[in-house]
Amino acid sequence: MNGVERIQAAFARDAKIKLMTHAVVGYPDMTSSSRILRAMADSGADFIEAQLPFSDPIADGPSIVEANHVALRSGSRTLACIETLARLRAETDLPILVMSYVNPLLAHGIEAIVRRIAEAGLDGLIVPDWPDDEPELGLGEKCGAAGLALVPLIAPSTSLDRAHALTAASKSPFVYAVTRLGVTGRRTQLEESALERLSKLRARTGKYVAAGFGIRERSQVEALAGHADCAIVGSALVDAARAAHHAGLRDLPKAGGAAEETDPAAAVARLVRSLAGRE
Amino acid sequence: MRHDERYYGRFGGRYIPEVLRPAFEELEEAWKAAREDSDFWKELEGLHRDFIGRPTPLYPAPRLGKELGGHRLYLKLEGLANTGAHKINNALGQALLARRMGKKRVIAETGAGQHGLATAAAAAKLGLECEVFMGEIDMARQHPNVFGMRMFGAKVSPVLEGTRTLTDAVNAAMKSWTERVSDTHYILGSALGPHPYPAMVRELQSVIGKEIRKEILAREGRMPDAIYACVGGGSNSIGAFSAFLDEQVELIGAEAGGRGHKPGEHAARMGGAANVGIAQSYKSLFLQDADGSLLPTHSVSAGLDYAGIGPELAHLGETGRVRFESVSDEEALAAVKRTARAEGILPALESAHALALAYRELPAMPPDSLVVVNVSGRGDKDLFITAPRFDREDWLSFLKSEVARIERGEV
Ligand SMILES: Cc1ncc(COP(=O)(O)O)c(C=O)c1O
Repeated sequence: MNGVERIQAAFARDAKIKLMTHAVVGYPDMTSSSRILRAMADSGADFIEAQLPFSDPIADGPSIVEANHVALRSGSRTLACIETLARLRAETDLPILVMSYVNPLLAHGIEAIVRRIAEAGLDGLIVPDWPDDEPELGLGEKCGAAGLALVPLIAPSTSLDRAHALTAASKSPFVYAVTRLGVTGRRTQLEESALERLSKLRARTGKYVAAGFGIRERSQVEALAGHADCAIVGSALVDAARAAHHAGLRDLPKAGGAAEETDPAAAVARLVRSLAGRE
Repeated sequence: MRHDERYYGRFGGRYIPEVLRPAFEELEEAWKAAREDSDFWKELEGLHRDFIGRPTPLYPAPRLGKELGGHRLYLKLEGLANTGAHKINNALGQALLARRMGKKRVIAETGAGQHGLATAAAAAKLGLECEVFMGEIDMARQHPNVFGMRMFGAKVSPVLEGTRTLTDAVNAAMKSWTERVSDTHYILGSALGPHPYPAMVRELQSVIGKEIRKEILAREGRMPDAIYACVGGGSNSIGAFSAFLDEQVELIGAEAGGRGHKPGEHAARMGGAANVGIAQSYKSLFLQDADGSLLPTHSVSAGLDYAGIGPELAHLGETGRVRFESVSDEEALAAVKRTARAEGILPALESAHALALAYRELPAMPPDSLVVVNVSGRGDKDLFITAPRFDREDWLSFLKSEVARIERGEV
């Protein structure tokens, strides 16, 4: 089963709204990050979005930017991040999507890095600063040849016609719909009009729709149900990991104290369970 | 599909997130229309004269010319433009464009603070709201410009991310724009970033080169042998060079050599340390690590302290049309002093890199060479950097007594 097929199967399994959880690989360090990713898979995520750390993440808000910088400072290199994801692949069947800005890919050579990602058994790529009208890197063809989904990003300002054009040639079973202007982080108020737009997007493109940017809690996931096929949660999970990481640095875990308070993986697991409606 | 007008050789392009696409399409259309509109240029030329004080002088520097081996040396004094640097040429042009597009608000990034200051002044002049993003480190080292921007009514927002210098200020401005594109125009401050900025900024700065050309022909009856300019993102240099690209004129860019050759100690991108990359939404040469993350840079001058370089200059460097050399912090500081003493002109630290390079190279040129140095800005803004180095004790006691005086409530 290649990446595109695995993603397709995960969406088609049932009609329930799915959950895609995002992590910056290597944040706060590679060992903890590995545990965080595993905790996501074990706690109710349907898809994993794993971001390769980069110095200049132009579409991310302060929380994810800081996580990128901490990951880089802790020495997380691109190929080691992909190794971590390859190990995760061995432990879970969930689709794993690599989110990366274009430069970390370019630095290793598009052809080589796409091959590496496919060899690691990962399923797709999300590249926020790779527009459709700068195609000369050949990312689309290379992903296609490797069976990876290159996921189209749709902004609130993207017309439905343009969304259709962007997705018509794409092999990705889904689109990544950004629910509001701006960068990741701040909580999004999901207005009726935004929800309707997601439904229209689904109808117009014929793709599954995963919606993200500012989704932080279960009630928002529930609000998306029926309009989108998947909710994407990023900054809220990074925030949870950060709070526990900082608390863990401050005070050693107390005997009998809740692990969630000082262990980033446990804190993330708790939030994922809540987002997935498991508690 | 390749957009040739977006590219300079293999550099340039427009690698923007989807959310910014409408903003760029609108900007590109508006810029195309403005370029073709003689009324736009007529208004800008009027403001050049009345508001900026153009043409700026092309000053013959006889004493330095003689000292350096009997050359005819001219200094283009962009520092005499309103707000103290060439940055106003671009800021005012884009502010006019913003007003033409019906925008109520402009935002900008700034390193040395000169572009922020220029944008704030242009916004004040044209009645636009203004917010400037500035790295926390740059806010500290270029504080006089922070006050200046606030005097013009601009909001100065500190950027606390990453290196807390120019690179991160660019990111912050771009991100802020994604939240509010409908009533806001982003006035990018150098000849870099996604298309159409490199072309637009170059055209708005080309007035520098046009004036040099006209004046030097009038005075000397011939083309200069060489033109020197400092290169941060590349706007004053491409502006000065653009009128001479097809002439037999040597064009030389001075980059920040900082305090050493190791990563993080300099911002010399054209000396072989940089690699092709796509960052900040354009493709060019960037100082970066093996994973494509931008490296920290250092320069005594905030305006040259940047990991990337405008795509056109990267291309002109690669083809050999522009020669790049790096100049250390110490050489630049020495050039500030020398220029001030010899000619009564206090250059900005950025511009001092171009001067220092000319001072290094002129003695080896044939006598009677005709050389122009673009002095992109004046040095008043650098007082807090130069004073503690040139006259530490006096500056320290001055600051202490000023603090005491203000605390006593004497102002
Ligand atoms: C006086 C002065 N010169 C030069 C520069 C460098 O920019 P550029 O290379 O775009 O001219 C700056 C930037 O802040 C500046 O303030």
